[in-house]
Amino acid sequence: MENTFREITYAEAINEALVQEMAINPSVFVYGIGVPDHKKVFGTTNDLDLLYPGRCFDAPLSEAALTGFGIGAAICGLVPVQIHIRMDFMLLALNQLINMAATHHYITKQPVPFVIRGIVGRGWGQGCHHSKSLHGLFSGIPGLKVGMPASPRDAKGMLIKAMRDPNPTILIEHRWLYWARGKVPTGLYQTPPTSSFVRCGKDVTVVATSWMVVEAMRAAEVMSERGIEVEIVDLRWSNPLTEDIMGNIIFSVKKTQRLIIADNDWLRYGISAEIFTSLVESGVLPKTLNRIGHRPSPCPTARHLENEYYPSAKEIIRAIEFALDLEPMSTDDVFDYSHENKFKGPF
Amino acid sequence: MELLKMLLTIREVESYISSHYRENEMKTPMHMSMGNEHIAVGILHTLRKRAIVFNSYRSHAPFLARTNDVAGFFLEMYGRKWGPNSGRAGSMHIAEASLGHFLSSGIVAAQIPIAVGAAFAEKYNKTNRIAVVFFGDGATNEGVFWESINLACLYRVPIIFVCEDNDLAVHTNKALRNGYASLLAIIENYRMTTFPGKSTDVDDVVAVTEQAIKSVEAGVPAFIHWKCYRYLEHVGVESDLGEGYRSAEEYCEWVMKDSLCVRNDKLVNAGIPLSEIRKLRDSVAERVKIAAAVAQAALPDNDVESGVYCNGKYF
Repeated sequence: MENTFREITYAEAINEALVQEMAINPSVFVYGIGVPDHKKVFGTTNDLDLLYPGRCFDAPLSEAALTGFGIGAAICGLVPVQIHIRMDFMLLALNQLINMAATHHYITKQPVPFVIRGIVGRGWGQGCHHSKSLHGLFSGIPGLKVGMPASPRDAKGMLIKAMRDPNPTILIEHRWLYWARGKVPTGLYQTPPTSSFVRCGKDVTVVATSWMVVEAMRAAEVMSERGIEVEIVDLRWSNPLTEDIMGNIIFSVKKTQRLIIADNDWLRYGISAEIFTSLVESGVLPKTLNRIGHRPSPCPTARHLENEYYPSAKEIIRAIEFALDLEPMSTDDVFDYSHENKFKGPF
Repeated sequence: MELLKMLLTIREVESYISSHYRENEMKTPMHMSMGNEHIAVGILHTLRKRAIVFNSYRSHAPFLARTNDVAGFFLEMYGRKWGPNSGRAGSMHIAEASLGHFLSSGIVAAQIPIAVGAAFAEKYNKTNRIAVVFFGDGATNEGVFWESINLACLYRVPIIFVCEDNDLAVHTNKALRNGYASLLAIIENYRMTTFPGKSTDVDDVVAVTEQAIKSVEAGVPAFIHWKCYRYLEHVGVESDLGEGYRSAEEYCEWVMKDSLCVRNDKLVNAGIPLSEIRKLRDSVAERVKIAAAVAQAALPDNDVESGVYCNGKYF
């Protein structure tokens, strides 16, 4: 069946991946706390309980046991898709994820085709228990796979890829991407294990993860008006950090000589450090490096503090100006995404 | 005789380990099953190929009782390439899925929810298999234990929980761990059938297992709680009676009713000639000796990174 494209939201794309894959693979089932309730995990589990009775079900507040449950079901041939409505809750299951899931195939040769979807909260005072991304933490663990879809197209394709992957995969979905519209193929397809060019340009490379891809796009629009062309690489997958993923980054930095890494996480001991180090180890050293991430604190609740905590397009603009030795512009008029001003696309 | 054969096999394997451990060739911590082999043997003999097995690092009895793979066992203890886990697992993590043994966990209680998920899959796929998960009374203090029995009873999965209760978590007696008197009094409130026991007669374990299977087949998980005694130290091949956290009287009480002796006596009283039993014991000993010798001569695995991800390559 030929794929055609049409515009749908990130949330609709995730739902579509589940509806379509569950139709052809009877081993896929979806579960978690509140998963089939009337809110349907922001619409991503719409219709699943009706279309596939017994394959989309609710669960008690037992993240650790539910994760072990998923491992057990996976090693017996099913494809469990566990959903955490906040990445922060995944921390309750760290023993199962890191000690058990990540090691299982290595020591027993049994595949663990287990998909875990976690949502990154933000805005309206989500605060320190409802805002984490944790991709740095999970990316450091051999045996786990980690993906962060930023576009609706990747939200669908990466979930399908994860459901067909015999390894435990954590997919990290940012809440503020859920309303974004973008072109998504109608049929089934898998996102390859590579990073992707969101925008091409000759002047500076921005490698971005998750929500920061949107902020990078905003910054690129602003800089384009000043005649600066920004190249944006969406990392997409962070574990394992393969040559295919780094290849695009190496190519880009060789061209622009200037690197900005905008990570949707705390700065230290994370993805941006790993990307830069891997780059240098491959023999590529950019003339400038800027790393952008969250402030080194737990996420505060008050709005003005949130605005300080989270970097935005403005920080990326400053970094570009630093990299290219440009006069700093006034960013007062630069549009800021927020709880009230949602990013609706297009991607 | 089959039950005796498996009891003998496990005891002989562990005797070999005890005798040869000081050669420092089996470089893996050993948590010995000596003293409570009858539990795993009775349950897994009854279930046969229907059982998919999960246990803790005290893996020897359940692993051998399910797989009967003495050769593979020693290959794994000696860390050889052709061990069921290519030497990556050792005693604490040994598993052999093709023979129905799925996981040994180094983390107390972590195997329990995994067994519940496996049982769910067997029900989903209508395979008629039953998950059996072994754990000690120490595991019942872990939160995930309570989460897991709740899930199993809520989702009604085909699972038999087996608590091998030796009163200890490592060296700490349950008097210093539990804020309640009776585990079973709490467990009985869950939608499970409970089966308490303390016999060292493997026939009693078999009888209880048959009842447990009926319960599981009726959609109700089973919980077998069997009091037992660990002859040796928590980890290692020595006795630690001298350390004082257990009494010599208790030790003698249990050794006097050792499951192998009980079985031996039962068969002799039933008319089996001693010569046949001796023949069986000799053949088991020979089998163990050969398996260990073959394992020591085998090649080690040299590839640390293969198998981190399934399919051998990333993605």
